[in-house]
Amino acid sequence: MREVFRFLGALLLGLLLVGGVVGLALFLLLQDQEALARELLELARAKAPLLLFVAFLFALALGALLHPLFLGYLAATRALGQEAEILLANPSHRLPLKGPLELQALGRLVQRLAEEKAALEKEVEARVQEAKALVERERAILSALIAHLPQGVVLANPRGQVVLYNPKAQELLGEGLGIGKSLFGLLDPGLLAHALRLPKERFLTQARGKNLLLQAVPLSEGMGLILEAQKGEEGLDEATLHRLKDKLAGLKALAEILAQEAPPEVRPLAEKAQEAAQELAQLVQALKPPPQAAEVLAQDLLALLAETLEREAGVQPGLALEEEARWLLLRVDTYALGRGLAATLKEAEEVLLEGRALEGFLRLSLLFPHPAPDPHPLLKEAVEKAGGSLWREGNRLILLLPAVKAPSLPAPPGPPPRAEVFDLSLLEVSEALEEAPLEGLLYTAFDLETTGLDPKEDAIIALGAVHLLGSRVLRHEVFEALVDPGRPIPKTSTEVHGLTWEMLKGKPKLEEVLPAFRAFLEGSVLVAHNGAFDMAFLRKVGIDQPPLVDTLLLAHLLFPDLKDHRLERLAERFGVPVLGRHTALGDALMTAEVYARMIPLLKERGFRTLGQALRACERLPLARLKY
Amino acid sequence: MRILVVDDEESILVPLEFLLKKAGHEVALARTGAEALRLLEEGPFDLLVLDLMLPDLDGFAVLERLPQGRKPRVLVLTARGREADRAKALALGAEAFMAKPFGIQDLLAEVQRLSEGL
Repeated sequence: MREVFRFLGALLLGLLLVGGVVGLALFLLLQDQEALARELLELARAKAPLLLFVAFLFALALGALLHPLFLGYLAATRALGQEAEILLANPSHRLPLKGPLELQALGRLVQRLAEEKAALEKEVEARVQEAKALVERERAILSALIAHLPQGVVLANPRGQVVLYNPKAQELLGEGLGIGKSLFGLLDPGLLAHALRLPKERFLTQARGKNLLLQAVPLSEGMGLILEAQKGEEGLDEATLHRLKDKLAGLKALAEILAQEAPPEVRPLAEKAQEAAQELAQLVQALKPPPQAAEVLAQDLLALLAETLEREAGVQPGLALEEEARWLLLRVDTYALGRGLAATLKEAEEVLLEGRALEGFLRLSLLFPHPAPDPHPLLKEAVEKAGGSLWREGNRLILLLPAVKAPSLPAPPGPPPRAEVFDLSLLEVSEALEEAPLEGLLYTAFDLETTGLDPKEDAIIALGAVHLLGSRVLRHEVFEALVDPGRPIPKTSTEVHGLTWEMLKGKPKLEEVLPAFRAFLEGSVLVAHNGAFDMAFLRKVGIDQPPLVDTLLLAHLLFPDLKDHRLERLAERFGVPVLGRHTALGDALMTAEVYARMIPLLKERGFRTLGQALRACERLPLARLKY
Repeated sequence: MRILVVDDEESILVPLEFLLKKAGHEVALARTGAEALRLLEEGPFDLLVLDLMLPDLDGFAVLERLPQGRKPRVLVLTARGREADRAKALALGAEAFMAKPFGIQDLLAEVQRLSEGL
C-alpha cells in the first residue's frame, strides 16, 4: 500500500514540477507582451480540449515511467529483504524469485550465501560434536584411571565445589561428598587454604572420625586433593616408648645393683641379668617414633605461621629470622602449629616472632609487650609431636623445634609438575606407520657433532635430541650428551662446533651414552637436517632405525626455488629463533621447530601421511646423495 | 645431703633409694608432682632427682613452681631424653639432665658432682 502512496506522491510532484516550469517560462516570456498574451489565452481557450489531452498524455507517460520504479523495483526489493530475513531463521527457505531481473540475480546470490552458511554451520556443528566426543573419551580414560588409584582424589573448583572424585575419596570422606557439593563442609577450610600453600606436603586431618593424610594441589582452576587413610599405628607411639624406657630404666638399675650386692653364689646370674638389661637398653635407645610430618624450611614455616595467625587470630606478628636459620629444615605439622599458636595468641595484640638457629634446633621466640600467655594445649600438642619443647621466660614464649640444615639450597621454584597430556586420541592410532598422518606421530629430531666429515674415519662427540608429538615440540623431553672421542679434534671441526678434546676429556665414552640414546629414539620416527650424514655415523655404531624424515629434502620439496636450504635459513624463514647453532641439542631443537612448521605446508600440498611425504622425498635428485 | 627423688615408677624409686642411702644420703620419695612440691615446702632439700612425666603436675611444672629462696639443685632423670626437653629443663633451672635408661655409676657420679658444688 505504501508503494501506491509513494508512487502517487512522486507522480503529483512530477506533474507539479513540469507544470510549474512551463507556467514560469510562459510567465517570463509573456511579460510586457500583453497583446501576445491575450492572443495565446484565447488560442488556449479555443484549443482547451487538445491541451488537456496533451497534459493527460504527459501525466500518463510520467506515470508509466514512475510505475515500475515504485511499484516494481522498490516493492520487489522490500519483499526480497523480508524473504531474506526468513533465511536467518530457516536457512532452507526458498526465496521467491520475482520482480526485475537484477533483483532476481540478487535473490539467487542471497540464496547461495544462505546455503553456504547453512553448510558451514553444519560443518562447525559436526566438528564441535567430534571435539566433544573426543573430550568425552579422554575424560572416560582419565576417570577410569583415577577410579583405580589407591588414593582418594577430589577435584574442586575455586569455590570448593566438587567437580570430580573417585570411589576411594568417597570411602574416605563419606556420603557428604558429591558433585557440586562444597568441600568446606567436609574438611577444615583453614587446613585446605594452608595445605594449598604447601602442595608437596601431606597434612594430618580428620574426616568421619578417622585420621586422614591430605595433600592439596592448586590447579589452574580450582584445586586437587589427594587423600589417604593414615595407616594403622605403625611402629611405636611416643607415650609407649617412654613407658618402655621408664620400666627398663628401673629394671636395669635393679640388675646393676644386684650384680654388685648379690652373694657370690648368685652373682654370675645377677651379672647375666645386668648384661641383658644393658643390651636391652641399647636396643630401646635406637627406637624412634615414626615422623609424623613433612619437612619444611624455616623461612617458609615463619611465613605460614604469620599467615595463619592473621587469618585465625587477627594478629599481624612482626617477623625476624636470622640468616643462618632461614635454611633450617624442620619436621613439623605446620598447620597444627599455626592453629596452636593462633589459639595461644587469641588475646594478644602485638607479638614479635624471632627465629634463631641453635645447635640442632630452630629456637622460635615470641616476644610480647607483657608477660607471655599460657600456651594453649593445641600448641603444646603440636610442639610435642614435632619433638620440641616450649616454655615461658617472662615476656617470651620459647619454642624449641628440632631442625637440621637443609642439605643444599633448594632449587628455585620451577613450573609445578604435571603429567603431560597432549592428545589422548593418539592411543587410538593403529595404522601402519606409513599410513599414519604426519601430525599423529611421535618423532625424535636429533643432531650430532663429529670430529670431521668422514663417517669412516671420524667420531661422534656430541648428541642432542628432542621429541615431537605431531607438530608439538616436547621441550621437556630432550637428550643431550657430550662424548670423549679419545683423540684430538681437528681445528677445522672445532671452528664449527667450538669443542676441543680438552673440553671433552672425562666425559663418558660413546658406548656408555649409546644405550640411553637408543632408548630415547625407540618407538619414534627420526627427523634430522641432512639426515643422511648423521645416519651414516649412527649406522657405524649400530643404530639404524628407519624411516628417517630429512628436513633438508622436505625443504627442497616445499621450496624448490629457494637457493639456500641450510637449517638456519629455514629457521629464519619460519620465524624460529636461531639459538645454540652448532650445538647438538640446539640444532636438534631448531630442526624440530622447523619440521613442526613444515607439517601444515606438507598437508596443503597433499602429503598427508608419512609414506606420502617419504616417497616424494625419495624422488628428489638430492636423495641419492650418499655419505 | 638431703635428696628428694620424684618418680611415678616404683622400679626406679626402689633402686635409687637403696643406692643413694648406701652412698650416705638422706632420701625422701615422692610419686607425684604435687607430693613433691608439698615435701619441698615442708623441709629444705639439697638435691631433687626429678622425672619429667608424672601423673598430675609434670616435672616441668614442678621446676616452675619450686619454692623461691631455698631452691634445691635439680637433676632431671627422664625417659623423654630429647634434646628439646634437656634444653627446656636447663632453661627452667635444672642443673643436670640424664636420659633413662641410665647406668647407676653415671648417676652416682652426677649426684656426687652436684653435691660438690654445694
